[in-house]
Amino acid sequence: MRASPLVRHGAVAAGLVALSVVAYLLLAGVQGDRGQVVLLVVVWTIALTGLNLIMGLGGYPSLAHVAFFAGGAYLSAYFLERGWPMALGAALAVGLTMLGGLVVALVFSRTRGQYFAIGTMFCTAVVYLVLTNATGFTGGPNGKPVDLGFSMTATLVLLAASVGLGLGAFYVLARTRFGDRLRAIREDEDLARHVGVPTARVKLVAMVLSSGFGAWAGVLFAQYNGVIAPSQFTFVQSFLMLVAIGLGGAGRLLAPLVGSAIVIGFTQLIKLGPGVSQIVLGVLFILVTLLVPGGVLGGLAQLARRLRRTPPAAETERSTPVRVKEAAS
Amino acid sequence: MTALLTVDRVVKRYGGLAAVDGVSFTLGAGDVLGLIGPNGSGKTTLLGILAGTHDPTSGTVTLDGRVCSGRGAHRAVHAGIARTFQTTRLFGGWTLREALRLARRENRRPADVASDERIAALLALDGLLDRPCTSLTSAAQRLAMIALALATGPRVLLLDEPAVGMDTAESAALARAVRDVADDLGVAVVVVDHNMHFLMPLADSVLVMASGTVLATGTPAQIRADEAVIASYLGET
Ligand SMILES: Nc1ncnc2c1ncn2[C@@H]1O[C@H](COP(=O)(O)OP(=O)(O)O)[C@@H](O)[C@H]1O
Ligand SMILES: [Mg+2]
Repeated sequence: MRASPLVRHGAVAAGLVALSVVAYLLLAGVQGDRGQVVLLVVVWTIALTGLNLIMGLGGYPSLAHVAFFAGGAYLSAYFLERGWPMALGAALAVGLTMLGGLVVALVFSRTRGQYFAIGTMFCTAVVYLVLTNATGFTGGPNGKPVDLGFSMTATLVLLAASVGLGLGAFYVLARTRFGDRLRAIREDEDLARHVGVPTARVKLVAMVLSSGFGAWAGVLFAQYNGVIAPSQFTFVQSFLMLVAIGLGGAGRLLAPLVGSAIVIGFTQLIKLGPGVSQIVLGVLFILVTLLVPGGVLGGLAQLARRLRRTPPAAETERSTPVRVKEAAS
Repeated sequence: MTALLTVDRVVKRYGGLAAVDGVSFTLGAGDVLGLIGPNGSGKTTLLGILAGTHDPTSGTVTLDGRVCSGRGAHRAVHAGIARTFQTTRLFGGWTLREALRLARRENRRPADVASDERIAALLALDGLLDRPCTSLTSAAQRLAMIALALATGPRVLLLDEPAVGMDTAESAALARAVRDVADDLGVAVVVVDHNMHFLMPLADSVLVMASGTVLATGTPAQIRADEAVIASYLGET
């Protein structure tokens, strides 16, 4: 019944190319408020693909992701300001942010669960303080304009291509031994260590890769948006990123896209007044976590499996709890 | 014959308490050592030190002439020491085959490792490889945990109360499986258990712990006859 792996990989690749094309058309075609929504969904999808590694596959709820996002945006803006070539500035911004990711990973390598969440939240808080107070470098609370490094067309193409390529990278990583190791860590980190997984190193690599995605998204966001300000990189954003992965379906390939669409849709399109949409999202998150632990995509996959199942074969399998560990959806 | 595993004056302190207080013994390939002692006597802690779960406060564990204690569990496994846990631990939703594959890929001596089918056959888990671990019976889950340890290609296997929750027939099958692992794969095995009907026929030698120290060592027959052991432990059960 199952398609051969090659056919499946091909189908995923084709789907991701199509997704990039659609992203480009929407980015180029949609204007105004809705254009802003498209941009944010695209940028968040790129950033959250990284979060989906550490949090989705590895089970580590990082609240530092927005700090990496900010790192990419501010550092690339800084290098541009100094007259450096954009490509170099972007590479440096991403590289330095990944170095920051390494530091965060080293500092919090021994913490788990809520302690890891609180620790990484602290990083976001510190970065926010720096953004608001290091006025000379960051422009302070009001932010600053960003010079155009890439042409607008180049930025659009990079944004659209990064969505497909990023998700493609995730798809590949999730299927390598690295993906298995992260899933093992999510299931039982101590047991993983006892079958030989170098858990500390795996988590470190996941965190650094994850920060790279966040930083690159930040670079592109700054380029497209033209202005950056601390209010775009708050703790609330970090929390919403985490919510997006949970809502989408942690560890699933398209969780960043689905989660971003839901979260951005809620905060940008449905004007419920300041703070209210976050409360609604919070409640939605709790409901989904309780009712459909696999998120929207996990729930859909479960539903599809149920519909596909032929009655006789169903008997033996139904009693087993359905756990989702395939990243493809 | 030189010993495969040498445990030398191992101590583990938790604050003022010495959970393991100067334990030494040696073990050869294919030997089965029964480790007994009252609750809280330090058996699990000792296994944890051997397996790299805990760093010893002092003392060393040497495998084939190489010190392998105090370097973390993943390095101990790479060196060839694998353990199971007193409470069942598996990668919940995974199938056993997926879990074995992970363990096998982490292992650096893949040629030494028995195939999934061989491991399953040894432990009477045939036909259960492709089921989610959570759907197995609790006895099968205990066996699956041993299968996972075997998939790392260990030379020393540490089993912490493997027969817990098993009925007589199941624990007899487990004893045969452990014997086969020792004989066929040449693995040295340390088995902790309170069930003497299970342990005594299985073990080549027995080490009795009390309050973190070695109270007695000997063959099962010697231990059964040892008055100090009877007084401190066997007599009470
Ligand atoms: N992490 C720990 N912290 C403090 N004390 C511990 C810890 N682990 C074990 N102990 C203590 O060490 C002693 C030995 O425990 P354990 O090795 O589990 O014994 P056994 O397995 O023989 O029942 C007990 O007194 C226990 O309370
Ligand atoms: Mg114990």
